[in-house]
Amino acid sequence: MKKHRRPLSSSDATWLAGAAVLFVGLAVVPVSVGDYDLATIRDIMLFALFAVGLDLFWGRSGILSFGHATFFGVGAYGMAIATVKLGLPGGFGSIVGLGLGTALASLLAFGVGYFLIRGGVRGAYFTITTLALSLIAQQTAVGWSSVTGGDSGLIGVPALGYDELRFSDPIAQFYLVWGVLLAVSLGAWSVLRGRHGLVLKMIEDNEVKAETLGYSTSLYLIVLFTLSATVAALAGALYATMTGFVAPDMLGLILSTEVIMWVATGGRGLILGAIVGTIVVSELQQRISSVDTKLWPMFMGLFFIAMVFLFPDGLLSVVWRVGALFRRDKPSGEVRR
Amino acid sequence: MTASPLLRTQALSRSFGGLVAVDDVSIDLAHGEIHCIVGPNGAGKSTLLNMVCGTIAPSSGRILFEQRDIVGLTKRRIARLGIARKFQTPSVFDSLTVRQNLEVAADGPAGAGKVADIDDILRRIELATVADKLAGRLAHGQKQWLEVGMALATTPRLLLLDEPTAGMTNNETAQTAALIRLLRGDVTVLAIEHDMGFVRALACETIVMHQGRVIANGSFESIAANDVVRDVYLGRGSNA
Repeated sequence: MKKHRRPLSSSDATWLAGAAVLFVGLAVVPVSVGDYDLATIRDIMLFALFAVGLDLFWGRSGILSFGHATFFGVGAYGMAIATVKLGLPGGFGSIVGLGLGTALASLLAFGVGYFLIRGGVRGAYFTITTLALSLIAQQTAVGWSSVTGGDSGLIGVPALGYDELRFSDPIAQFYLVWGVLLAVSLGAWSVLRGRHGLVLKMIEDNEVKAETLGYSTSLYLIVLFTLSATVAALAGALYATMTGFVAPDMLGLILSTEVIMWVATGGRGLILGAIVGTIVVSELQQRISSVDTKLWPMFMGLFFIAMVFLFPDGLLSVVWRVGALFRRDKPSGEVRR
Repeated sequence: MTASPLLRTQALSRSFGGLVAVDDVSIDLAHGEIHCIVGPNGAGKSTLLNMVCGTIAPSSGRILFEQRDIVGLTKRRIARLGIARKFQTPSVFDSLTVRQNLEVAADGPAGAGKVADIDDILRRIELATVADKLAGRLAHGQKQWLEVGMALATTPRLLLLDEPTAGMTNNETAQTAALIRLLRGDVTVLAIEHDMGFVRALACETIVMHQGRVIANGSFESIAANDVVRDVYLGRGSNA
């Protein structure tokens, strides 16, 4: 395979500038907030990491996975089972848990992806099948209580680390999550702006044509789905070490739906969109639920409908369009995926 | 003919339920020649093309590409052997630029190992001035040419064209014929076509199909003079 080294285009520069503003903005958060808010924002960043995972697949293949919480949950449960159930020595238990959780999720995604994608399942059929995956996973977590702790889940997951060297301090946890989110976002972006991203665009445009040009489109989609699930599982495993517990709703349908909303709100296929969307929706959720917790589900539905009508390409597409007015080298209004 | 043909079908048949779409078709395609298959709707032209590129499996018979039987190979394997196909409806990557469309075709596994000159192809398909435009914004005829260009970028041995002038204006059709004539000698071409004006402009080897069978085969002049062909096809289509 030949390497493509593209020089930075102006839309690449826009992305990098946006990422810089976002991550610097997040980095200074600990200066101004208390421990409670710090933990809240840390969790939002973990959910953003999960959303980035979904965006890798949905944003780049155009195929919606409705069961992505399964992978987040498997990551979290893998961590909890290794540390709490298997009772691995405190020294390295959480490291093993991190490996176990992400490996299980990768294997599951590879298996599911292999049969669905190689079998030619695409579009709405893929969405429906993965939706079932989420239901099965949640039922398993509730029913298999000897391993998963059933309805009440597992409590007592230790902080991530080795021996005495642990991310137990709120500030340390915050920057760990910040760093992982930054690394994954940058890594995903730099891989996808190259040749592989181009092939994925081809697949989204016209998979049959890409296949007749000799590209292994199924392999591309399977690998992408597996990577996407691995990022989701990483977020889930880290989440378990920071909140200290796992519960069945971490792999359920509601979380699967929420993550879709986060990505759709920010803008699919832009990576940063997934992060911005998660922050905006979570912030709204905090504010509205503090008025009355019953308001949120209703608001969420209305908000989602409004988003689809007003900004079908997500909030960031608005920024992109405004930016395009100042750029002359690209056709205006194109959202670059 | 001294050299062995690039592509040979032997007693190729395909039926769909009770309908025999392609019935005992044996044709030879000579290296570097342009060939057209003409025939009324339902004559089996598209089915034949689909079998050659691996989209449909034959019910019986053999397809020899460079004397090798390619029946049963996947679309991707067949593409890698050097058989490129242009679809009937324009099938380009809308969110890539014209140049990127050609690059991904040239760099794809089907074109691996040979470097096609993208700028040369852009000139040939007359899209050099819009090279950095998104393909989704091209006119219909331009998309068709871009797709021919993409097929060329894979440096194919055999280029299959499914109604390359579908939906084109007369002017665009003439330009397309000129473009394909230029390929003679470099690439072996097999085109399916409705438009007799286009086939006449190509002045190529012509295969006439009717109800799944080949009823005539030869130069365009000999075909145009053939009474059977006039009856089943040209008689009705000549005023079109």
